[in-house]
Amino acid sequence: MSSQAPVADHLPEPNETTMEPVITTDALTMHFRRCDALMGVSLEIQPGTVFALLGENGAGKTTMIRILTGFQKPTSGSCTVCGVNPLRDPQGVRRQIGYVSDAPALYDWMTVAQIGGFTASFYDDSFLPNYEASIRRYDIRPEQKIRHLSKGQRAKVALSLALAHDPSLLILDEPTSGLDPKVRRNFLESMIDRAATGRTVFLSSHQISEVERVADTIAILHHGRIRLHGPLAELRESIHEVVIDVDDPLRSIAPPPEPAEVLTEETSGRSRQLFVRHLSPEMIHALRETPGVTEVRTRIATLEEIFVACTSHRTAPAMTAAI
Amino acid sequence: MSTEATLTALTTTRHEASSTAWFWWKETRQLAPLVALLAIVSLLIVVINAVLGAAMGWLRLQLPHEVTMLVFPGLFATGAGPLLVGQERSQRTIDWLALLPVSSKRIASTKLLVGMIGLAVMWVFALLVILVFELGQRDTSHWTIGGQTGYSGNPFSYPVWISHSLFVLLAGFYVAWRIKNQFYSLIALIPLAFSPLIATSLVSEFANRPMAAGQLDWINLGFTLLGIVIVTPITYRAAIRTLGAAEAPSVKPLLDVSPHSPARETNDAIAPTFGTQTAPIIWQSIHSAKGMLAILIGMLLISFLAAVQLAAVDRYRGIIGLLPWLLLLAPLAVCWLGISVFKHDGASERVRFLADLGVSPGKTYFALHVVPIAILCCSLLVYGLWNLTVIHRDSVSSFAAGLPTLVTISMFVVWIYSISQWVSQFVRTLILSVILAPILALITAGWLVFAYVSLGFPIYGLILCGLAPMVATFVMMRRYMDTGDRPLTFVVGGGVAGLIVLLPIGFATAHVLSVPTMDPTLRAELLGEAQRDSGRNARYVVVPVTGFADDFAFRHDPLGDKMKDLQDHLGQYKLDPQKSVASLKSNAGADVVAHIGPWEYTRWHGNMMRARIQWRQQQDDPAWSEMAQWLDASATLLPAVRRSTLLSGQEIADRLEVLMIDTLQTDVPAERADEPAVQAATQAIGTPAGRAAARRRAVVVTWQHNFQDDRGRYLNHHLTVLEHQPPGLVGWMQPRFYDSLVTAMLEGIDAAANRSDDIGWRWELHQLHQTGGEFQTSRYGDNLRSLPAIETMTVDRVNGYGQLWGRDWEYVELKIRTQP
Repeated sequence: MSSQAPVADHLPEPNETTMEPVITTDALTMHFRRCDALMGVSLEIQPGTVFALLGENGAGKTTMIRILTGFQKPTSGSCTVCGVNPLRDPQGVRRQIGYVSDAPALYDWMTVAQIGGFTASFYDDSFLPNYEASIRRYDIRPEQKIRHLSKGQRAKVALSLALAHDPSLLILDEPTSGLDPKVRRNFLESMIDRAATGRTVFLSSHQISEVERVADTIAILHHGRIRLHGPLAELRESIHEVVIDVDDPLRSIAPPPEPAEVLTEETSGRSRQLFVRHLSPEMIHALRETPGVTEVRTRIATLEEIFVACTSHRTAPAMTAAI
Repeated sequence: MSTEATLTALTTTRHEASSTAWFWWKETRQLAPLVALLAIVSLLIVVINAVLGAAMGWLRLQLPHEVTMLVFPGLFATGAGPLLVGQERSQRTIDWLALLPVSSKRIASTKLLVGMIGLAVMWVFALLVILVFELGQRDTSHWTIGGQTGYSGNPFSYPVWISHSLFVLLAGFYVAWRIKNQFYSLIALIPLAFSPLIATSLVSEFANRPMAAGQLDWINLGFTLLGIVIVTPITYRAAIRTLGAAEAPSVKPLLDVSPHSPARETNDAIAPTFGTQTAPIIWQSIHSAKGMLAILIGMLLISFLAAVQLAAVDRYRGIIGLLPWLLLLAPLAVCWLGISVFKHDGASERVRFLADLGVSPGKTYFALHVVPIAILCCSLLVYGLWNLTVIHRDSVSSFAAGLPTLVTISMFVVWIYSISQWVSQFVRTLILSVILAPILALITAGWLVFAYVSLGFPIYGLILCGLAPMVATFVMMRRYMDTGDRPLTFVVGGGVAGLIVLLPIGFATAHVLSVPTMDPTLRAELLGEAQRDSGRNARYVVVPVTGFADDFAFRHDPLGDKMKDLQDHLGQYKLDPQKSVASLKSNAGADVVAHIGPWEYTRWHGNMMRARIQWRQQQDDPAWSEMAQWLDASATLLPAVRRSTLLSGQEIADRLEVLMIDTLQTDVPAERADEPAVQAATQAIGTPAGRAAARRRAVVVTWQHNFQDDRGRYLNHHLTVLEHQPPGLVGWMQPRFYDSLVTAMLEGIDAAANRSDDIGWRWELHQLHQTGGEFQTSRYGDNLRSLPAIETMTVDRVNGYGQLWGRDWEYVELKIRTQP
């Protein structure tokens, strides 16, 4: 199995070649006392994209965001956000980004209007009208105190605050938790609109359906390592589910040859299920010709299946032995 | 280009000003609850002082006025840092704030500046209150340093207080920036805040010579200023470090082991097993606040060790002088144990967790309280056992002599703990709870002690008031678990506060009302009677009685000639009765009232007895002549005294009459019965009806004047029953007791006039004068009354009126004339 997809795997689009990446990380490593949150993470995120960082709970997503926003120093490695090193100039980074955490901590004694006025005082004149418009759109009364808002309403206020200064990079950590389906849908669509205007959205989530709807590029983080990184459409086209039926459950089957990459394999009786990257029709044909193979079925994997394949530990002993 | 630059500069300036204003508004608003709280409590204390001073007079609750006011800037300084920084860190709003385009330097400096200006405002407020309410001592300047009684006993040197509060403010910011856990930061602040005093004590301890108090004051100020100089930069550095990126842990795993590797398995990873349903909740109680509980136990232990040390020493100089401060850790720990019930780190999540699991409010309540209460019980047990071993004598240690009993300490512990856990339930933030709870606990304990000592509040009432906050939190438990306790919690809180305040007042009122007041009709009737009697145009004559003067003791010269003094005084003791009654005789026939006090009467009585003894011994004409003069003068004096409308005058008339009857019966021989002096004395003896009328008149008039003479002096009369009443209620109960006294005396007067055997009035007088004594053996009992009156008269003072009324002497007039 591949432990990390190198940056070179991602072939840039023609229009990206002339643009500086909005986020670059180079071998970011973060050791905590009892765990390794990040292990040599290298990424480049191009401007004008919606980037989704997928990973299980505890995969290291929030740690990475904290490093990118200048709240945490990494154990080793480096990164730049909007061309600024967040460790040297966190204010420089924060000036250009909008950030919403999964549980935004707002001053709960302030009213919705007060927190808008307070935040607006640190930005230009366009902040307050944008914020007020956003609040109106979300149907939140400005005189309400934050402490009296529901979880979803708080999320809406936090989003409004993060978006009101029209940041060039928006970093969202589980942005839609607490939002109702209608608002969630509108919000996700607005993310696509933002990317279309050249702004970048960094989205950390494990909501596969949302990511599928809006993301241009994804990376899957598992146990502190990037397991898969690339444009979503390309990744989806390149990964197939292969189901092989054999005549004997104990029969050993050779894996598809290079450049195919088996992400995961599961055995159930006489049936073997594999998720394979870079699978070609010749390989499928070769599998069908393998002695003992009674049938081979293939289809393009869904993103959810890709995610599960990249983050699961299931590998069949027979296949492992064969490999 | 230049225009654009100007516009940009203007815009930037406007936004800077705007953001500064908003920033200051936010910080000030965060301080507002603390400021309001402290201002309300301080004003409340001042008002309580003023009200108690006006209502209770000499019983004024001795709260230190200016210290009360000066403590509040200190409390503000303690709370500002934890509130502006610690609370933001614990609620993670500091992360959100740091996300804004505002520098760490600006965040840190703004918070500190707001704290300093808040402190200045608190000082202005405190000094204004001191000025307006005229607190403090006017004859000394509070702006001097070391000019009074020393740093430990002189909390009134404003420069020292101000500089120390500034130091505490900076230290509070420092610990809040350094330590994320609010409780731990407050704990760290305690030794830091006291560090100048500790340093001063160390200097005092290790100096080779005794240091004057003024010197210590200056040293304290020096250490405080040094502390300010040191703490300011490190506070700033701590702020910048905290607001910057968190450092990566330097410890690197030795082996790259899998998260599921057995190498990662530790004891923590093994799920504990429990035998009962209650055990896991208790286990959770201990493990959820291990650090906090350990620190609080440590505080109790330190305080206990300080008490042990203090009980063994008899002077508190140098480092020992700090030990009394350590004693304060114990009530503080009890208070914070109470706060730990609902406000330790993660307490709300814990309650939420239990609520989600469906654990009943009762069991949750038990779980929250069981560990703090267990700690308190163990501490009390240790204290009680140690107290048994202490020798409670001043000669060993004044501290040991004054150690409270286990029951007293337990009562205080219940009050403090109960109030604190209640505060921790209804106050949202830990910091405000930590500051408010000790103040409220102190006020409550002070009020209940006052109620017990001065208002006679019973012990079961004290227990009731102590448990009321516990009941309140129990009642609110279900709503609290469902986070739906507001606004009902304020209603219940108001009820508890009302109970604690009003219950002692209710008990006091009931106690006062338990003494019956006089029937209004009878009162009006007697007042009318008194009005008539006191309106007589009688002339008052003061009977001059020479001899030992009242102020003899003051004129006594200890270095003078003792023999000369004795001769002079003995000479003065001899009294000429005719000279004393000369003015009465010159007004013979007129309505003259003699004024003679108990002390003067004692002189009269003694001289007449001396004349009688002299006559008995000598049996000659000069001796008879002298005794006759006394009889004659007494015969003049008696009717004039009997006319007195003062009750004390009637008492003296009774005594004089008893003395004259005894003299006539015992010492006048039959052959001298017809002498003018004897005849005059015989005729002066009154009748029961006459005496009854005079006594009644005196009783009602004296009562009308509240048992005081024209100069406001009590007429040598004191009701013993008042000594057994709560001191704070004496003023309220006294008129009622005097009503009872008057009613009983009027009954006694009637009984004496009619020679009735009714003992009701005597029983009542006994109750008023000898509360708790045995009636039959009392001054109003039959045993004493069966003796001759002359043998039972007390001299020099009045120990209860009416003792001579209705006894045999009143009815013996005919026996004198038939004496052989």
